[in-house]
Amino acid sequence: MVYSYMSTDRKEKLKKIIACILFISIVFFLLCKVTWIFRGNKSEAREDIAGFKSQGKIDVVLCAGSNLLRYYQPLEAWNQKGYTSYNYATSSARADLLKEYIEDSRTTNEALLYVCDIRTITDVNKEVEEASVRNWSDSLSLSSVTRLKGISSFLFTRDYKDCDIPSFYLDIIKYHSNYDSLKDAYQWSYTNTKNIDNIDKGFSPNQNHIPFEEPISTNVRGELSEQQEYALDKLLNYCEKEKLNVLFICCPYIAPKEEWEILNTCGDKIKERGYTFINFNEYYDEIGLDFERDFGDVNHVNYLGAEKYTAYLMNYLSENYELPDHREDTSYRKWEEDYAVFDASRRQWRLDTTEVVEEHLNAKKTAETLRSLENFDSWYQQIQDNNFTVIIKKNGYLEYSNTNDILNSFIEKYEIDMTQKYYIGLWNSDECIFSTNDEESVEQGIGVDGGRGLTPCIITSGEGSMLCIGDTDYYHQDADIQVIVYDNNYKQIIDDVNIQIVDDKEVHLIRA
Amino acid sequence: MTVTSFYFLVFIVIGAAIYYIVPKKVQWLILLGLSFVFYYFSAVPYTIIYLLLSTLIAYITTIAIEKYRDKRTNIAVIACTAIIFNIVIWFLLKGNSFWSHGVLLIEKTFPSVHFNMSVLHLTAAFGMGYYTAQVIGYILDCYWEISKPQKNPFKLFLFVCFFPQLTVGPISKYSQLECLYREHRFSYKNICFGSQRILWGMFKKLVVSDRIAIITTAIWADTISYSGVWPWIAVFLYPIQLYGDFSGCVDIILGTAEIFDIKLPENFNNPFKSCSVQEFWQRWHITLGTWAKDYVYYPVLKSKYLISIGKWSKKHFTKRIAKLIPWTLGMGVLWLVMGIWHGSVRHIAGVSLWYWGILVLGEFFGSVFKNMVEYLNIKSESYSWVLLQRIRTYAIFSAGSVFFAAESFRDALFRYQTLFASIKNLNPWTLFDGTVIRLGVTWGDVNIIILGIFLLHKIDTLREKEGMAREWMQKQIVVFRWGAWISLFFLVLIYGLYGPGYEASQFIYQGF
Amino acid sequence: MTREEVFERLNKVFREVFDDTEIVVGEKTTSNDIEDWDSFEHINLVVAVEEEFSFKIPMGRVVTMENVGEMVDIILELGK
Repeated sequence: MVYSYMSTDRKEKLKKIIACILFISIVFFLLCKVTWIFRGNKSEAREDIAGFKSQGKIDVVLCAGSNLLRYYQPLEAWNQKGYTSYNYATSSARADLLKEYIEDSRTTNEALLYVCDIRTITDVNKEVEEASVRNWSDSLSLSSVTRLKGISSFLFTRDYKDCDIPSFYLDIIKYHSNYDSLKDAYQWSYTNTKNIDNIDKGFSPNQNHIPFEEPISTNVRGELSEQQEYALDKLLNYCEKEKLNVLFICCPYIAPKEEWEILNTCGDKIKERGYTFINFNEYYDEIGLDFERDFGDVNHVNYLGAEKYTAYLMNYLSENYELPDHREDTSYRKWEEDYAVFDASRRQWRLDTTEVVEEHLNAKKTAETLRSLENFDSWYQQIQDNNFTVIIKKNGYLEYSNTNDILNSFIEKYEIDMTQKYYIGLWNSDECIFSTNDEESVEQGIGVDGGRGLTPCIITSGEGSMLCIGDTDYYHQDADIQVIVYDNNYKQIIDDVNIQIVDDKEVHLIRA
Repeated sequence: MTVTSFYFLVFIVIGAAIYYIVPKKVQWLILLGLSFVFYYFSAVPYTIIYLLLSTLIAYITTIAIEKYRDKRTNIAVIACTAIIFNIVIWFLLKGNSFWSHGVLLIEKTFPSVHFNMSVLHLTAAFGMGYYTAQVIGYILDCYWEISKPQKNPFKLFLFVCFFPQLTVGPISKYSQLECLYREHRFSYKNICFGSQRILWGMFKKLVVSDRIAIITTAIWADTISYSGVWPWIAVFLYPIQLYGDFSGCVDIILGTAEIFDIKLPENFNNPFKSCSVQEFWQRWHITLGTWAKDYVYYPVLKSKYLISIGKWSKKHFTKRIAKLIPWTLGMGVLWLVMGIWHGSVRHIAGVSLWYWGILVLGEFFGSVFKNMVEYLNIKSESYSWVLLQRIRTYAIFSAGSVFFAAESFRDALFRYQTLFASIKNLNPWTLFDGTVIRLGVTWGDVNIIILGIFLLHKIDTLREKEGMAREWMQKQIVVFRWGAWISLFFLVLIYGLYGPGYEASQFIYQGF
Repeated sequence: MTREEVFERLNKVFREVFDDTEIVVGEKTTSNDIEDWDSFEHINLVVAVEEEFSFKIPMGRVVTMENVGEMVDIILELGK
């Protein structure tokens, strides 16, 4: 009605304005969709964040990084206690974005309880760590306002000078050259994020195993850096302002002394503001963690540890908070179905992880008996376990005419050229890490890292020969062939042997 | 901030918003401010003093010329001094190639003479070749009373440093840029057309030109692996790469200016349609050709020396030859200046000598050629003959561009050497065996290049026929129009070679 | 000089410069009307006119003249 009373001039103007807005809206809409197609294949993070929005009502929202993803199983809690929970978490998340995680989760869901695992506050620094922000920001639609706020807040409180800032906001600038994504149906499926589901509710296990020793606890209060203070304050301020029901925790891990001290200080600050903080590193025994079996690397439990942790945390939550039990509610059918799928998966995870753990423990047993073996044949069979690194050093010409079959196969396997004076070899079962028949010096890290670093190993042949592992030199000058066997998981030397060829056909194992 | 960067787009949006909000009387001041900002982020900031210096000289000179015109003072001297001053500054800062070659020549001829070259390592101003030409044109225009001098020095400075022009021109006349000082009303059409033109320019540069550049640079980087047909392919692809790069940038510039309601002169008019080299230079880098014609060729031909040579030739030669001699000399000066403007000795060879030579030969043997065509009964009106002429013109341009593309005179000679050597071992089968993939492009890229060339051809033809391809677009139905622009936008977004994975490639014509 | 005289002399010049004995120029003749009259030939024409009428056309007028009629105006103004 109003339109027909307007002059043609104004009608034209109005038409142009509407056309302009419509055009820009279409372009933006298409841009949001196209961005999804090209985004990197960090499928775990994307499924996590995108999957959250299609879960229905979540009672407990947990926010963190992989310190949550590998630890807590929401479906187990559902099965045992009946409340719905979800890990709104992305790998490498940092504590200064946790506020935005909660904020984003609240756009579709108001939870009864929020649980923030602040272990990553110890990693917070001034650098712009791309993974920390991109795992999250590349998993949200361009139209999300929280995403914009989160990126700005992250970038501009850190050293953003050398960053390509536009590519954080419009990540298609970074990913548009992933032309292979156009061929991938999975990438296209994200153009409709409503169909994205995350059956495991944000849990994915670590199936590695590294044996550790229990860390030593400390009551010392460390000092927080400026950035760390800022991150904690930001989170606490938000929780206070929004009057949220929040529990702060820290997952159990192989905590170094400095980090434990920082967590102590954080705990104090959190408690001052009236919130509860539980550092699960103080509850190793209560959780029942076995440091020899339950960890995958320095920062994460493996699936066996996750089972124990989930049991403890879910008990704690249901005892200390009023959480509903939906198990009889038919509108939560999907959770039942998902649990069935999850149950099958986790049996397999348990099996696989146990297998790895058992393998490493068996290797350890082998290692215990290795020292007492006199027979070259059985000893040679045992050292080929792929949990061991075999370090071989030959430092002189040897008289040998290929008469011992087992020694022949030893020489052939490790590629030792008996016509040459020197030999250095580092082997992991059939895999050659390094080998040479020349006079050389080699530096190599050995063992399984898992966050502990590799053990440095320096071997030199010829003048100034040495065989250093760690800080100690194990070189034996009088050996024909010296072999050191090293357990990769336990980071221990389990045997140090001189192979002596006697009468051109017998092989003796000489130990100091 | 290069003209293809995200920041530049933001710069235009904010700049245009301010521009149309402020009172119309001060819009030119906004343009001046924007030019300062642009200069600060695109170039070494202090070098703006060279622009200020040129402006000051031009200002004082033209005011003096007007004041003393009717008095007995020799204003020609004033004008000449100012022009020479500008040329000298240009030589000092941009004439490195001439200096080094000249010094080498002198040092070879007189071995005892030594020059200290360190004094010449000064940073040149941004867009020096372009604005110096504009300033010289302005001084001459005032001297010849074509334009009235600008009384406001700041307005004159805007003429010199107007930000879109500093990257690759075009070289405008003062009369063409007087619209800088007028009042500008907001026009939806300007914004639309300007944005469309910028998008088209981005397509040419980022999608087509930079993609072809991968091929040409890979071939010239390794002429041993890519021998035979490949150097020839590189030579014949290069004009398209150059055209996409240069005209793409010019499109972005003209589109930007259009958003601010400034009409800059066109620099290209479907150049590959040309049937002769004369026609080519009326369709390629039009503003440089016009500048050289109006400010070099005309004055030279009207000068006493050439008129007397003309008279002398009439006495001693036939009419035709008599006319050609002053023309040849005039052309020689024009082409020498064009070559020098490009700033290096190899451009004098590849631009000046080459085209001057071709044109002179063409004129001298023109009638012979015409007779041959008639004698052989070639249908000179047919499309196929016209096509042949276009191919011939393209080939001449390609041959000259070898100097243009090379990094130095020596490199250009090496390229010619390679080209002639490779005639002996042509290997056309490598066109079909996938060698093109080893150059660093995929078949998809090749398809895009072909599509790009096709679109370029279509649009340029449309532009010539309809005056403006965008006008033709306006006449189409909404769905087609919007579909075309949205498709082009996503083509550039997805297939453009930009972003953190690529080094922002400079424009080939930037830096003159 | 009268306008007609100028036109007659100009016809001679044009025929000489463009090598075409058939050319006749009028008030409204422009470069579009004569095949070889492009911006490069223009200056040759100007030089020839200057020689014929013994004067120098200022550069400013060289580029601004739109048709032969204007050329005649300049000749009458400054020429002999």
